[in-house]
Amino acid sequence: MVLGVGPFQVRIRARIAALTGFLSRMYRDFPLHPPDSFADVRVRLYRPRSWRRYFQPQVCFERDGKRIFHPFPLSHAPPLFEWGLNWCIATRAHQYLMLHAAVLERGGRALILPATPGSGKSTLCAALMHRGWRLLSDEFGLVREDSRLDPLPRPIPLKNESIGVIRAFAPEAELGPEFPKTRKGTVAHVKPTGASVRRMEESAVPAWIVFPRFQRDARAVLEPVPASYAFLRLAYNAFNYEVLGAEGFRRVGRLIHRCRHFNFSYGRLEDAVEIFDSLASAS
Amino acid sequence: MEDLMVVAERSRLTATLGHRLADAGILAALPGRVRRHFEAAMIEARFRSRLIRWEMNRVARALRPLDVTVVALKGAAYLLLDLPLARGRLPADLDILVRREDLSRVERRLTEAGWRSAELSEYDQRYYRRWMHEIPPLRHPQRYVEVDVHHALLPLTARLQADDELLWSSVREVSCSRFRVLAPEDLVLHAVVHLFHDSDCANRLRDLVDIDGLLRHFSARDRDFWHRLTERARAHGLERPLTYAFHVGRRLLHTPVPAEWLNPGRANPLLRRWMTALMCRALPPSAPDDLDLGAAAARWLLYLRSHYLRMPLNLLIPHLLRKALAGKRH
Amino acid sequence: MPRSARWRLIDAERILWERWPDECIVYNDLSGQTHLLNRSAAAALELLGAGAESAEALAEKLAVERAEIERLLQEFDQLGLIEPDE
Repeated sequence: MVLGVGPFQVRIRARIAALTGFLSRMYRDFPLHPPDSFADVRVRLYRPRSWRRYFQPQVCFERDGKRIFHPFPLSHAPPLFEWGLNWCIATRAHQYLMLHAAVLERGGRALILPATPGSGKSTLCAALMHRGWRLLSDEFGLVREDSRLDPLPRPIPLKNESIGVIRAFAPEAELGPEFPKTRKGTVAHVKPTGASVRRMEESAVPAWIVFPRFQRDARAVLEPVPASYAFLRLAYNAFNYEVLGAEGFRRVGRLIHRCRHFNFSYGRLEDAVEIFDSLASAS
Repeated sequence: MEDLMVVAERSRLTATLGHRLADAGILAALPGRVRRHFEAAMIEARFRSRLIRWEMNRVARALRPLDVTVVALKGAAYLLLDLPLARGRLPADLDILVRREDLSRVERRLTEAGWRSAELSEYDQRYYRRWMHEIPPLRHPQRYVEVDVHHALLPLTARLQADDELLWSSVREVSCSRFRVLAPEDLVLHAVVHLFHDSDCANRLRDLVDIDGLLRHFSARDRDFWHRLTERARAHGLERPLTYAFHVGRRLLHTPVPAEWLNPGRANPLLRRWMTALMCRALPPSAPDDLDLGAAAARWLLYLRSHYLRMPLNLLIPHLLRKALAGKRH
Repeated sequence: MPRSARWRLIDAERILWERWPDECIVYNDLSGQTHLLNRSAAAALELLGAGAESAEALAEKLAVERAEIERLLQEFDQLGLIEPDE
């Protein structure tokens, strides 16, 4: 099948029940294209022919006939698919400056949340998506030449405690199955909201760059940072800043000029929602 | 169309194809979805070229105090000469050539300036120093590019030896660089020798495309080029591989070798036909999902042959055995 | 290096600038590297881009200690932003 995911058309070949179930649920409203369409990415998940086949079944990820990553346990085919697809995009889509960031939109304007360890980006992103923000992406800020950001809505992976946190915070959220004992602990995915999928072709104008830092019980503090600080943090955070060279420098510059930039510490999702609400309603 | 993209990607030719399409004025007319792939590949190729140019800059800076001649080889040379075929390539390493007597000075200076030897076993170090034509590859810890410093163009135990003095006598300067380059004929022959004597044949289509590019570029500028190239091949004793290059290039890429220059050596025509067929089978990447046993067999035979050419039999067997064992350990 | 040795930018056209009042960020397309410069470093780099300068001349023009300029030049050389003007 050829699945439309944001700007990409992904040809998927797999005869693995766990994966097919996951895809039909998590990508339910995504466009499906005829099999003879041009696909940007070709992925295949398959069970390797090894002696382990029956008592420790595994699954492998292949792009264009070349295996990527080590085998995963068969039951983890869905997270393998998600991580594999991320890798395929991050290594090739150089028409974009690709930020490693969550991006959400309200009123046509984009909120960019660059990822760092300890940022709680995915949890924050899942929460905001259920509080009036449209999801552009939980992982990739796809910055075009004209500075607009293109959407790439995908299931949002949550780890360990975050799963419970989001279930409590947004009971209306649709969560996929839990995958225990992955490399990142227990992982479960949040289905992108109907609005996020329906408006998958609508880009957004960048407005705010916020560097989040989660600290349990911390007071919510939003503090402006100098442009040069934001520039460097954003540049080093991007997947392909180096590859783009001069163009990467220019795109980061344009982004910095168009946005307000902040550091943000928080300990409660409710505070974060409130602060971003007021950002959005201010000028 | 999609299959073309996959095959192009497999042969590392997407960016080169993109440049050719751009030169022909076709790229802009392609549907955006397809065009973007070429453009992204061209961006990546430009990035890789920049890494090589910068490495050359850093090597030149480190070698500033030394009075040695340093020749840039292969991809680095194509970049220095601004050859059209340089665009779209994905150079991985920086290959440079120095005189044997300058090798230890150069190695010492580079090490002082921060480059480090790749981690190698004692056996591999010996293989490199005694039998290969290079010291183990160097890499500066702040960067990714490997620098291979050669003092001859073929391993010392190879059955085919280029005439080193001949090479050095024709080395020429390039404007705005302290690096020199080989004469055009030697550039071609070096590429030819590597294509036909290096072990890894799968996806060497890329290398044939380079040779085709070099031949077209130089022959277009110099009517005498075919003659000089043939003379040069004879002087080096490399007529056989050059013949193969001509025939395979003509068969796969329509390289415009004039009929009168097609057979520089007096190769056994049967052997020549067999090698050509083998190469034509082995070079192009297999189609996606193809279990191409014919191509695999061809590649295996050529792999054996290339090692046979590099080393005498009594050294070859233990070497291959070691390589196989090391492979299993990874 | 002799006292009057002059330096210049390797290739002024390949340097991109983002300027703010107290600092600037510079991208060197030769090396692919991005650098954050304080005010005096930025001023020094601008001068070196306009024409070759010696450490002495720079120290005078920028009203900065000679030793500091020497250190700066050394760092610029290490980073591949400048080269001796031969």
